[in-house]
Amino acid sequence: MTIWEYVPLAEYTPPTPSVKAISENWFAELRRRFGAGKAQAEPFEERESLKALPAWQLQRIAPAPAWRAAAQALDVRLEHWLADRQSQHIPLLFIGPPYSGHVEILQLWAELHDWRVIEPPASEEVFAGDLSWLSDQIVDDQPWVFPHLERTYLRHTEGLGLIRRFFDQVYAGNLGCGLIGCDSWGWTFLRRFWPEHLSNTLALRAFDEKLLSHYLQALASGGEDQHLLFRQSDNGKYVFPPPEDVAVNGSVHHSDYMQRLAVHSRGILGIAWTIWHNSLRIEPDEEIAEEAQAEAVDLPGKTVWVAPWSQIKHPVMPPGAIRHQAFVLHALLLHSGLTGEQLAQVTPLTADEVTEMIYLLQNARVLAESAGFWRVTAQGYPVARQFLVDNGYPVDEF
Amino acid sequence: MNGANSITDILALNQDNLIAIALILVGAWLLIAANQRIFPWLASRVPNQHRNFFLAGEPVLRLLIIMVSVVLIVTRIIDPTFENLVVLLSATGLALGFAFKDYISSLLAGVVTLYELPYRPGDWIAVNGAYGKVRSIGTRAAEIVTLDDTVVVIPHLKLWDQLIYNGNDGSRNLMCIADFYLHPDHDAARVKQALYDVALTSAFLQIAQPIFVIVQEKPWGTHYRLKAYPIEPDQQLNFVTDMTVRGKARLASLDVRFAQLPVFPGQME
Repeated sequence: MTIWEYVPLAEYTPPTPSVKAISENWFAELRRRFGAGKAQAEPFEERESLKALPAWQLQRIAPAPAWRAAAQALDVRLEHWLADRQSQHIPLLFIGPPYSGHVEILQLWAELHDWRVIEPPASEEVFAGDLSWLSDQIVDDQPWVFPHLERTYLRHTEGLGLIRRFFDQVYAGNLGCGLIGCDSWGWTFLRRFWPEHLSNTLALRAFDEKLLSHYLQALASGGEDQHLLFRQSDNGKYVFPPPEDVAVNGSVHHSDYMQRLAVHSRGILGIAWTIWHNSLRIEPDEEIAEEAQAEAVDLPGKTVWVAPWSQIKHPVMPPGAIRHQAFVLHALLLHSGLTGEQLAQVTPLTADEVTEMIYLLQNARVLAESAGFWRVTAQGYPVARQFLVDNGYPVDEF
Repeated sequence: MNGANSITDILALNQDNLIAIALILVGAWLLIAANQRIFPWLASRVPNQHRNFFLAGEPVLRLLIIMVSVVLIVTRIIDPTFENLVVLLSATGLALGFAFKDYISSLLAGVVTLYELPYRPGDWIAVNGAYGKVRSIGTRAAEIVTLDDTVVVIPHLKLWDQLIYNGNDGSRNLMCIADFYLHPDHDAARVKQALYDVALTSAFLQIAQPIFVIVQEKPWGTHYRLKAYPIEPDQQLNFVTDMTVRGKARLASLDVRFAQLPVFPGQME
């Protein structure tokens, strides 16, 4: 099974929910809206007999996605483009939703091919609209990769000059051969500046249930035949198809966890992995002593329990101040993260209101800060996106 | 006319029927009252994008309740033969036609309103100088809430002979316009681009919809009309305010002067 596959943007389709999942979500939403259901807001009730996996076991069973294989697979997709790159005047666009790994893939791909990676401009350079930021980095017609197109603008009256000049250079073919990466939300804004006939765009295929199961199972086995069993902790159903010696007469029940995970995460690997990572549990007596780590003790035949979907504590949008929350979330997604100061510049909120919203959304685990930038969290992304849809906001196509 | 010489002859108004009619009326009234509460309650709890659908369901269900009630009552008190119906309708039509002409006209227009949908709950309409959001559509009249939070009752009768302006026509797309009046001595292309960006960078903007900047030269200067769509029609005032405030700041940063008052009254247009 090919895990890493790239498709033209127009052919990208996120996983679709089953009728059962739609109806269950619908009832859960009704219960929430009409005040009957508080289950979503309640913390996950940890079964006493189960405990979270220690970090080292998690690292072994569910390590973070390594994007190198994805970067190598990009070569296959770009074979013709690379062969003909001398005549390519318009860069190729690689669009990806948050946490889909498109930035990491492009950076690794550039490393593999020894292409120059262009750093995004600083906020001051965006406001100045000065292309010297770019000219300093593109030299002698060397091919280049620019993974952060969404950092080239700010949704501000004086924040669009740079992106216009950048695209002017792109259309004129002055930048030579390059590969541009852009966040899917930033692209919903920036495509206004990009001519439709230049449809040289691609995206990493969405991870549906089958692909996600295959990938996460392969991650757990670490490429070896370890036969770890993953079962749902409330009913014992198998999350992945179990080995043949366990499946007796085909009577093994299969959990719908993976299907729900694929749909909930919209096929975005980084989001699916985060939820998966937080769902794993183990019996206390199956924990392997830390000193055994060094001996690389295997876990063949052991069972790793997976929290049932209904008990996973997904972030919930805080009540009240809907409009202000929407301003903050939409701005953060459009720019793939902003500082508090930038948030006040691109929304009609005052600095105090921005601080209040950040605090509110951070407490709800929808936002998190990293290196001074506030971003929507991987677990908060599905709920934030749905919140914006419910309030009529334009959303990305992913 | 054979078999039915007067209204009283064809009406079966005995005690049992009167009690049944009273029960039907009370039942219909209770259903309508419940209907008037349940639909707005549901509308307030569904996502914004589905709100108008629920609001629009209330008058339709009310009409159905009224029609069913009328049919139940009529069939209970008369034998619905052709002759009886002619006598009954002639008599009631004559009486109502004189006494409640406008009222009946409004009721009929109300039925037409539900069919033709010139306005629905949630629409932003202007009738006879009153502009506001349709709050409810009654049997006789519609209620709108103006931007100044004043309720205006508009009889459906206006449908027959008045122009009704509907800003969003059942959708969420309501065009808003911010006006800028500038001194004529400036680079119009640059200002047009700057105002376009003002709309494009508004947090209220529905980005999937187009933005227009209309430029007209006037005797007193240049009139710019910045047209765009907000995400929520209810946010139109905030959207126009946002575009105006940021537009003025942007124009000031470009050293563009604003038009002064016209020398002669009436020159503004």
